[in-house]
Amino acid sequence: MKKKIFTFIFVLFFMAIVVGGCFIYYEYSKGNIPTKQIFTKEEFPKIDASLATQPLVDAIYEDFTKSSSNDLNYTNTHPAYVNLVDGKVDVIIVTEPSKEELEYAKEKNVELEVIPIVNEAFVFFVNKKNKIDNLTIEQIRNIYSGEYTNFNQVGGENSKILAYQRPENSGSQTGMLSLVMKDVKMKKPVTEEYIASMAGIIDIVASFNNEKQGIGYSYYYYANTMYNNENIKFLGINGVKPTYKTIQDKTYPIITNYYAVFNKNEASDSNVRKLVKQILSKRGSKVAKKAGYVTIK
Amino acid sequence: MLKKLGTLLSNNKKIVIFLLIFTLLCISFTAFIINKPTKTIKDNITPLNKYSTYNENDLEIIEKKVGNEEDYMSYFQISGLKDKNIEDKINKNISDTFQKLSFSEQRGCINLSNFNNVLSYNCYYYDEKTDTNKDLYFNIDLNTGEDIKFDDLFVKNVNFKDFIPKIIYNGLFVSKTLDNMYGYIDKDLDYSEIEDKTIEYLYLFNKKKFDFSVNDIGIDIIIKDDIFEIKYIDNLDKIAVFDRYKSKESLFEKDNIGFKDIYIGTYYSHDSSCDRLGYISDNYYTQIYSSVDSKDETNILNTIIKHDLDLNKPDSLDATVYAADYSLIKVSSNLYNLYVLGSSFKMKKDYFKNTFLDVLLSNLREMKPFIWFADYDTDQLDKKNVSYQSINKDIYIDKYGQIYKTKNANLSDYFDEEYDYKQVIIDLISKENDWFFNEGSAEYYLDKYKIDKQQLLETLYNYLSFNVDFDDYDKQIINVKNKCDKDYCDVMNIPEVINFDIFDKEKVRIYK
Repeated sequence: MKKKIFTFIFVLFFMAIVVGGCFIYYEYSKGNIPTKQIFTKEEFPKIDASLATQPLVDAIYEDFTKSSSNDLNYTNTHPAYVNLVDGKVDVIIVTEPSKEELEYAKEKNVELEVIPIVNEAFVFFVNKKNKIDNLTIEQIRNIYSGEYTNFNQVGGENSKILAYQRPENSGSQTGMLSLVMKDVKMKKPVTEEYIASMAGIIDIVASFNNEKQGIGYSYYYYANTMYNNENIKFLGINGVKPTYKTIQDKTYPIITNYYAVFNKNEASDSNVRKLVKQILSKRGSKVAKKAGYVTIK
Repeated sequence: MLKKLGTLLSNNKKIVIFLLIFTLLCISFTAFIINKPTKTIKDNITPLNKYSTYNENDLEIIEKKVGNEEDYMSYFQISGLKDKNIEDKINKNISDTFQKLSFSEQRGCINLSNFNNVLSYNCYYYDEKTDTNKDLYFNIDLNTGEDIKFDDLFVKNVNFKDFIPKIIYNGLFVSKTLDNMYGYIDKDLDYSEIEDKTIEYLYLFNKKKFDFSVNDIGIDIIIKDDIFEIKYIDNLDKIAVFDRYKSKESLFEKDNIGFKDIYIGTYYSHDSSCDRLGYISDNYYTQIYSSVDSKDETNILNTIIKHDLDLNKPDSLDATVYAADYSLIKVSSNLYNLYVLGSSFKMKKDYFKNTFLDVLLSNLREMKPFIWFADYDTDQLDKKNVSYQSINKDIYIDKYGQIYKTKNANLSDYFDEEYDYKQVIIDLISKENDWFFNEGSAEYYLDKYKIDKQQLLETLYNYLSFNVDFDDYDKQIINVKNKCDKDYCDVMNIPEVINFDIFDKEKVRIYK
């Protein structure tokens, strides 16, 4: 009798454990498991960000402090660097420092520590009906320097290339120059290409009228956040398509990062270092991914 | 204990198998639940049919003033609903909001629109901290008196990502471009921040950090004091505001109120008087100035119906005809339009006849609507060679966000080769009809009425006050005065638009 009771209790216990485990996993997968507060609002370092990383900082702040991010105020990349160097903020989440920003820091005797926190990729796209699926970086450079003017020069159909560019000094244009073109000079866009750069490249490339001619570029985060356009396709570069996975493991060749930047003199137990560590933790990565960014592997 | 458990399990293989199966089932079920696609919400509200109807709205808006007659603040109350409980509830909400803002010395609540069974209003107050006026927006379902949720303005499961990013991008782009007073895209303008700003605004939109107001042409989204318009005409398949709030019977006291034809196939008029006079909310819309009198209305209507063009065709335009006597004809149609450069252009008649017309005719372009050309200042009267090139930029943008390149089409492309269309235009422009040369805000006419210098100066003063820096007033008026060396000046306006209906239809290619 005792044995039967014992067996019964064990079976019930086991079933309860299994059901409980499944339930917890379900809640976890839905993001319903409350996580602990890491910082109070007061402890959270004073922070600034680029416009493109503000959603990330908001998400981190909300998850780590369990408070609304409504009170956070941001400037943009360059003023954020100035604010950091001037000691007005403790940490900034931005693109990498420019030469000018590094010089400003040096002038003020501030040494910056720059830690990559999420990956970003530079992507190219064409209309879905374009037969080209892949280009090499060299071919891209030849297109945008004006050397190649027809898709048949890169294995496509006999069709003129309209190589759309972005507004000067915009993030995408700067990225194009520094990550792709490097020392190669970009051609001056013809009017038609210039118009498109204003109206939004992706729409133009996707439009019926430009189905075989257009090629454009952008940052992966921007393109993914902005567009749901089924009429474009991302090009593989050197044989690798830009996907979350290839950007995360950096097999996609044109990769950059968003960074946490702070004063190198921050103490090892400071809240700034604690914050950066938390951003790079599993929990931080999950928050970043949910906010639409590609986390670092 | 463990030993006992081990013995137990080894002796009861059935229990072990049961537990294993149970565990597998539990895991499978959990995986299924997690991966199950989100249930599609069924909704009987269909995409907008632009040829359907909506409820006539007869709401009376009553202004309530607080303070003395000279220095007052105001809010409004509504009247005319059958259901007085709902009416009282709405009125109480409006007056309560107004009261809550009593900390501000400047405050008010104003009606923005009421159409169908929807009321939209905003309350504003002065914010000392930022030294700016702040706005609060409210949109009310008159069926219930409850706030309208943004998502309910659209059909269910609408994917905002399909169109909101573009609207925000274009809105920021337009706003930046219009910082340039001539409204053309200038390569020197710095558009570099637009991408980043779009991301930021989109993020705020996704987090529901925005206000909105709704009207019968579109929905305004307000993010950080910037306004972005979702035009119904561009998003017919997504819009539910007419259908969702429509009622079978009128909600209003007057029983004879019926249904109105939806006419959203257009944008706001660029003639602000038409907005002000309520033509848009009355389903009337003016875009084409027509050189006909009222007896020809039927002909125009027939012409338009005959040539009703498919909205989806890239070159089709929306228009309604504006008859000579200002009685408007209601149409839901599209029509090709011809725009003539030189809006609000003022010059001497002789100069016009001898020089400008040639320049004008040789530079006519087919444009999409609402091109917002630079007005010439009156000092252009001085210049013998008015240069079309000075305003001829490759790329134009209107204040509604349409971006287009001027086509290099000549006017002759639109007519049969032997047809003397130039003479038709010259005849038209040379007509001395009062209405034709009459600009509502500037009371001067060509030849037929001679106006004295004082009148001219007053007129020009009015004109200049909207077009030049204050510092230039006196100088410019003196300039003009010097040119009026006799008792009067020949000053006239070039019509903004010439409708194709002035031409012989048999000779116009697009009518064939």
